Amino acid sequence: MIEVRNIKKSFGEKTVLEDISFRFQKGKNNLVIGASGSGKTTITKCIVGLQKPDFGVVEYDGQSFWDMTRKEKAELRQSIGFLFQGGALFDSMTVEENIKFALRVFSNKTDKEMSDRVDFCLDRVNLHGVKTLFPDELSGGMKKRVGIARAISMKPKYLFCDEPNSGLDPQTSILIDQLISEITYEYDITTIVITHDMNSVLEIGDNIMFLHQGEKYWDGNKIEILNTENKELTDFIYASNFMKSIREKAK
Amino acid sequence: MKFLYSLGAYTIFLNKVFSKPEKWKMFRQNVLDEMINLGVSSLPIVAIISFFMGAVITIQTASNTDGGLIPLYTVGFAVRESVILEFSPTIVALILVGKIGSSISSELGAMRVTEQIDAIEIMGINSASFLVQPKIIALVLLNPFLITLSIFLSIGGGFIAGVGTGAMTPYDYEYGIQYDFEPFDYAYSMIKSVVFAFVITSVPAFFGYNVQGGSVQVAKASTKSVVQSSIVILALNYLLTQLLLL
Repeated sequence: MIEVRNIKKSFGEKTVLEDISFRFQKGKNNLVIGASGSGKTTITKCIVGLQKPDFGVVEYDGQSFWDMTRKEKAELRQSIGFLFQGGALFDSMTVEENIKFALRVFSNKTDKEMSDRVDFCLDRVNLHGVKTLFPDELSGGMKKRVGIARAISMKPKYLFCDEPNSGLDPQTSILIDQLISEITYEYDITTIVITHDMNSVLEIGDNIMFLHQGEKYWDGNKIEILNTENKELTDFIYASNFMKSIREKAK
Repeated sequence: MKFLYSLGAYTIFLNKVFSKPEKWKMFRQNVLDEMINLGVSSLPIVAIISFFMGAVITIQTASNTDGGLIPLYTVGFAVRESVILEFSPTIVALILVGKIGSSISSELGAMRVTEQIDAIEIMGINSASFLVQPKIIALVLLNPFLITLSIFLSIGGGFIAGVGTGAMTPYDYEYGIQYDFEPFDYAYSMIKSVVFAFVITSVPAFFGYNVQGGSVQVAKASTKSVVQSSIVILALNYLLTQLLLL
């Protein structure tokens, strides 16, 4: 479980996060949703330690991240898997080398054991015959899958996915959502998905936090979100005329 | 004030770079890869520049000593001194800044804007140490060899130009090359090559690693890194000369 309390972050005069508190639950798909510029990526960077919050606490299973020693932080990060929006695959390495990367650094596995783990991870994300390809030879969906395979290679306790559906067609988006969800339940890990895709919200949103202009405006689950009367959230969900008409009909 | 801020940031960056590698076996392999990537791939450009540099120095010196008052072996002597003391370590360093420095800055800048550095960091790896330290160590180890090769090729280029054009006999040139040789001159050249190798790799790495933005910023960082590294090399060249030769 990851808990953030009273997180505040500013860049110069601009306040990006204002007093955010939330509990990301273990074994659930925790979604952070909001419009562009609402602070989704910043709070994720604060949680994984890429940016230090100006104020507030980030706790991993009760242990404060910013009070950890450098060594403890490094150890914790080995239990974090991160799927980046653009994949962030190492473009000088093949798919196999990308997935092996953390194993080579942190484990004492033999080449055979590492190759077996790569095969397992690729199999888990339903990708075959791509081990020797370089990232620029992959499609957007394949890159996301390789990103997930790399993220789970070290058997993480925490999985972060930054806009996993961006740039993907609807069918592939759903497959990626389902894959993330399956992995979360199968390995009983704490998964945090940053998204503004409503399909994802309704598909996998077990525990949702809605950010608006750097503040937490709402939290709940995918059932509760459909019945909310929170103005900012409904404006976000039903932004399109099509969604508005569906809501009117439902009413 | 801005200069002091940059100097402070550069020092903090170096402190991060020179921390213990995560895995020595991987580090050794990375150093070897960088030696090939940065050093061996620079051999052709170093060889071509050095050869013509020696040839031009010889012809220019010979054309200024053809009055008969100055002995012909002075040409060989002047070539050796200028090549060892100045041209090979400094000019080659400036060339390598353009080739290696811009490549390091662009590579790290591209990795930064595509979040590859963040990916390494999130895995619990010190990205600065992992990416930059092997480059610095590789060039610091290899640059003295590159400069030694450059010295020999420059002297060889001077021999071909001087003797080939009939400006002097092989004996005059060889005598000048060996005349009043001070071994410390070579040591001085090697000290410069090590210091310059450090600058060629670390300064562009600093600019590339700290890029913020997109491809335009990567390009700007690359240009800036080459300019700043060149200035640092020229300033250190003066400083080292004053410290070691006076």
